[in-house]
Amino acid sequence: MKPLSDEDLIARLRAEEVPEPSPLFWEHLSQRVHDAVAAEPIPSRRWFIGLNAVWAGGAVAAIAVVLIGVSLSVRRQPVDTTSAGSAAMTQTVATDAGAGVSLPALDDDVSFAVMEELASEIDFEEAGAAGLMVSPGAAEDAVTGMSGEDQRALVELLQEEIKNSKSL
Amino acid sequence: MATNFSRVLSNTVRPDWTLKVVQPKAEAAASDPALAELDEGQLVAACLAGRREAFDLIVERHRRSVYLLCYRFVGNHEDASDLSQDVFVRAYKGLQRFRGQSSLGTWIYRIGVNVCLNRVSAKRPATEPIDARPHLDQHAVDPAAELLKGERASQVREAISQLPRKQRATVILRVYHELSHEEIAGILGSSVGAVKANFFHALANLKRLLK
Repeated sequence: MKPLSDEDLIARLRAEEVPEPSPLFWEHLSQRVHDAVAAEPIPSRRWFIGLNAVWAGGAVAAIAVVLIGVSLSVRRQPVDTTSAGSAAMTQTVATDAGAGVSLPALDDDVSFAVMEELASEIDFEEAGAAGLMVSPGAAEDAVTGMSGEDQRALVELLQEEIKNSKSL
Repeated sequence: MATNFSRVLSNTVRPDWTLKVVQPKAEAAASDPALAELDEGQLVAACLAGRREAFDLIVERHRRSVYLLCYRFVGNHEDASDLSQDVFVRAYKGLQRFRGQSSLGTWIYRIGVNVCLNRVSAKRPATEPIDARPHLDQHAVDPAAELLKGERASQVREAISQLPRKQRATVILRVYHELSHEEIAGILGSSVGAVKANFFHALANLKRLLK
């Protein structure tokens, strides 16, 4: 048996006709749709439909930048306050000890700036989990935990530092 | 004589009811000359502005092609009629998503194909509807030829219904609606190459099923 060619097959497919419905059917269909649509709320364009992908992408990127900036500033804030507070305390101690002798400002110290930058990257929770946070009584615990020899060495170091600060 | 006739008329009892010929609402809206002049984009805008009657005109313009599309998928009048209504209601509800990148007809076709494919996937009739079966018309010129024609039509419908979804849609749109590969690709959301491949495989499958 000869196989069907594409043309013969398509002709055979097209020979199958859809029966023509009653002429009244079309009006009936329109009326059915009309009634069904009447029960639906009126569709309306939403404001974001007009935005194309570029605008939408730009808006998302802008929001992301703002969020990152806000989160960075929030994370930096406690560290900066602490460092500013410690700098002020150091200045006060030095002023009291040196009787009017001023120390170089910490803001000009490159190494302090590096430390400050590194510290700003550390999250408080991460630092606490790593055991880097100083808790009340932690210094006393550390000193009492030292051996006698270490305690003597610590006292010598502190006395030397006090002498040096008085000589300034 | 004339006097008698006048008397008869004057004595006629007037009915206590009146007969009014009312045009159906959908038909009335479709015959609105102001709307009839609008193109598709303007009709869509009118619908979105709250003029529901503009949608009646859209239905009138596309109801035939939508019904034929649905009939090709389901093969009977009742289901095709229900599906056609469903297609238009979905089109109305999603009208704000029509951006005019394709013609309104192509956009409605896309909805129609999706509705029909979902329908035939969800509900596959175990038996063919009675009205779809060939029957012998005693009044036909050649009843035997009519019977043979009906049987062949039934075979074609059955073969098409066995095709995979995309192949079936491609054959219906290409053979019966004579759409281009590009138009079909737009409706099915696939590439032109995929449409050509689907059509090629569909014809091969149909040859196997109809031999």
